[in-house]
Amino acid sequence: MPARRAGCRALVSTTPQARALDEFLASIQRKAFKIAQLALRHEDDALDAVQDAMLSLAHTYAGRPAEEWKPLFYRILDNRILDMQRRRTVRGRVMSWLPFKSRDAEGDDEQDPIEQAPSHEPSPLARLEIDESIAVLEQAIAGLPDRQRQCFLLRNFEGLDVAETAAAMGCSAGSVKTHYFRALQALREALGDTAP
Amino acid sequence: MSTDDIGTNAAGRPQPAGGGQSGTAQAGSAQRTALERDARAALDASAARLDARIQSRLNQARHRAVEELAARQQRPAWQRWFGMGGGFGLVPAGAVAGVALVAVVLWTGRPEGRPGGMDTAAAFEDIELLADADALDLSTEADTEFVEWAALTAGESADTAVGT
Repeated sequence: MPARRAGCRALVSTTPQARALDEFLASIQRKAFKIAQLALRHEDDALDAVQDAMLSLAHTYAGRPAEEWKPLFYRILDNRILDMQRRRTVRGRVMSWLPFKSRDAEGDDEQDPIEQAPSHEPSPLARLEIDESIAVLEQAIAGLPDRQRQCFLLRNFEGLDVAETAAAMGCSAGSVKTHYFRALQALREALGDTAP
Repeated sequence: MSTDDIGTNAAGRPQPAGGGQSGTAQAGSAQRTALERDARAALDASAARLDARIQSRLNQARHRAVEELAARQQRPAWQRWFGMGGGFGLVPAGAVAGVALVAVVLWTGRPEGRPGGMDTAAAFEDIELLADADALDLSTEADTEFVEWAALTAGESADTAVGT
């Protein structure tokens, strides 16, 4: 085991709060990434937003009761997403004036051993069918207005109740219900005949 | 089952039993429920199939957050209080230095038996000034001559108060 990982586990094992935080973050990290990705439509930006939210929760709110962590985390994540969207808007305006290419277009020469690891995915045809249905749904969700998308994902995907969703979104319970209803209506219209 | 009975739909949300709803409304409710269910299933499948690179980055981020919390909690209480060890403390170090300086001034400038009205008030004002962030910025800019003058003046004013 690498020394860093051994050191991390040694530290985590000595504080109950750190253990609890580790378990909580492990339980929500995938969904948090998906929520950020659907909002930002960019994997690396979504990863950065989730990382920032994790650090902020650990720094500022780790002392709060554990049952408050989920709405707090998603509130922080939403703020990070909004910050990135605003920076992206400003950056886009600035970059449109500049002639040089982005660094991403030049490619990365470093090989990531994790990325080279073999995958246990289903067959290509099955994968394609699954991918298509997920892609259609994700495209519809990503196309929702920000508040409707956030509400739908927190209520339906993450499983927050109305009160928790209201806390995460910083709005009233009535607003949550309205956003959710409108999100469902919009998804039905977007998915059309493909909706079940 | 009466119309007052409340069951739950597939998403776990309260949904009144049938009887009072029209066929179209019932079909709409059933369709919304199916949409929610299938959306949830698709998103869960998508989250479960994140590639290894994404999972690795998420794990690294989680470990970093937890490590920092655990390391901060492992520091002695006095280090956490004064923000030492790379974290943020509850009391700025400069404010502590300022309070200590005023304490020294008070200790050296007050012989026993002297009334402490005027120099005590001045001392409190000094504490407020030294605790102010801007004032601390000035004091950290090597304005040692001013600090020494302030200490000397505090002693002289106390002597004057006794003589009046």
